[in-house]
Amino acid sequence: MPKKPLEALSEPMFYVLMALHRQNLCGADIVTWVNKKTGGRVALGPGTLYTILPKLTDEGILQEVGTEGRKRTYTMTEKGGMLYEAECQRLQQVVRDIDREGDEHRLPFKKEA
Amino acid sequence: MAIRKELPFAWYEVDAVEAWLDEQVQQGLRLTGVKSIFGKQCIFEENTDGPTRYRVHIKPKDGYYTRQEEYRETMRELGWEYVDQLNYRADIYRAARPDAVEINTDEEALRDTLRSANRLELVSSLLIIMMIPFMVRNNLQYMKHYDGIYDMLLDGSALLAVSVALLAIFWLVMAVFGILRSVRLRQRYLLDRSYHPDPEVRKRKRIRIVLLALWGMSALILVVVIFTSSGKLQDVPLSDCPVVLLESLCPEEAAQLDYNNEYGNAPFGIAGKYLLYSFATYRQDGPTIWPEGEGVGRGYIPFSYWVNVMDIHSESLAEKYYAEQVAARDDWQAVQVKGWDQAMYRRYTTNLRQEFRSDQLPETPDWQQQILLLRLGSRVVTIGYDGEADMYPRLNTLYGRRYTSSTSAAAT
Repeated sequence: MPKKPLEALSEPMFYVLMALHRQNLCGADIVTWVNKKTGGRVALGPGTLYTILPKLTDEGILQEVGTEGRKRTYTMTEKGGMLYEAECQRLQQVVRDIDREGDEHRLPFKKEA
Repeated sequence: MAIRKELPFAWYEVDAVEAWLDEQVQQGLRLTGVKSIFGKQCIFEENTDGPTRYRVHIKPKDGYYTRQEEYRETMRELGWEYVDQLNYRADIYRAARPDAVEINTDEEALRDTLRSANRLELVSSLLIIMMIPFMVRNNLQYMKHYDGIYDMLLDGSALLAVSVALLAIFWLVMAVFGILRSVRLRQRYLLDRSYHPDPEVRKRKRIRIVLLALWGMSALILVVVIFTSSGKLQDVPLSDCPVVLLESLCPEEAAQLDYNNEYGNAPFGIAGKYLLYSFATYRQDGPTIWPEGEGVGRGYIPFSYWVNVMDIHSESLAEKYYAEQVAARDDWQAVQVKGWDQAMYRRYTTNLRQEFRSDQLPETPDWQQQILLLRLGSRVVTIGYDGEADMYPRLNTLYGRRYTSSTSAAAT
């Protein structure tokens, strides 16, 4: 059965890219970095990570750059960098849209009569 | 000391397995491995490392085995110790330190694995249920060849039928339980880990005991029947036959018997043993007639004489068996043959299909058959003759072999 192509970045995937944006990291370091950065909000464990890593490497978004014992170190490719930048811009746009809408919509939802 | 415990859940019931393992931790046990022998046997030892927790981790579908070493190293760094493989799709890890980062099995991987495991369980359960009617039908067809319960009891077939019925119930219980488990599993979210297995463990233990009892009884019956029935047949001399042979009954036909043709229809005697009786069968078949030339087309045997001697374990069983044989057909005629407690005679025409009660056999011309059923104590003797001669006036000749001094009593 052919593998399903990556359609959208999930939140854990985005944070994996964020972790590798400025540095090369191994699996355990990626998990630790994301947990620290998000205060544990993003549930990225080794189980999730090793479902994400093969997908991102198969898509050419990440690549291995080194092996030390059993550990492998990953880096983001140029394609990965572009994808990460595009996703950042999209999320910034989302935040701007929220801001433009003002604070009122954050009040408890009330349907107009 | 290693303690073995049967895992009461399927490998893919992740939440239940984890909760059950946590209960074992509370009982002071530490999981050291899993063996697959008739289900999953968990091997524990005494836990001296303090409290811990276990996680069943569903392996990602893609790329796991090429990264297995790296995977386990990452797990180790994040505080997880690999324990054993639960299934080719699932591993068990133990938290080696309290601050171990939660494994967080990927939900999609878990969902896909569950879906396929669930589908497999449903399909196999349904297939088992669909097979049960065939099993029962074959059993009933097999039973059709018997004249009644005592007939079936003597050679163990009645017990075999019970064994098959128990096996059918075993499969049915297992399949229904499989379907129910599969349906219930769909209704709970495994990753919230709120499942409390205690009552379920008790229920499953009961079901397991029922299944084991059904399977055990079925196997036990089978073993008893096999071991009490000798698979080996022994040659016995015709001179052991307790009634007269064809030579005394129809000398003109007996003259045609060919004792030297061991590849043809040479007369013979064989003996064997079944559950509740031992038997000896003696046959004296006429030569095969080949209307289209020797060995060409279909031949037939113009006359056949056979004696089946059954020495049944008890006289009362022999009486009941005899009565059942008599009741099975309405054309028996009561006769008296000296030296026997009971005697019945019947004459009828038959053909291959009627004889074996099967429409699947080829059509053949009818032939005449005469049967004499005798009982003395626990011995039941059936004498059959196919051929032209009329046996009725000669019935008391059969008595002659047992009491050589007097053979004069006439059949009534």
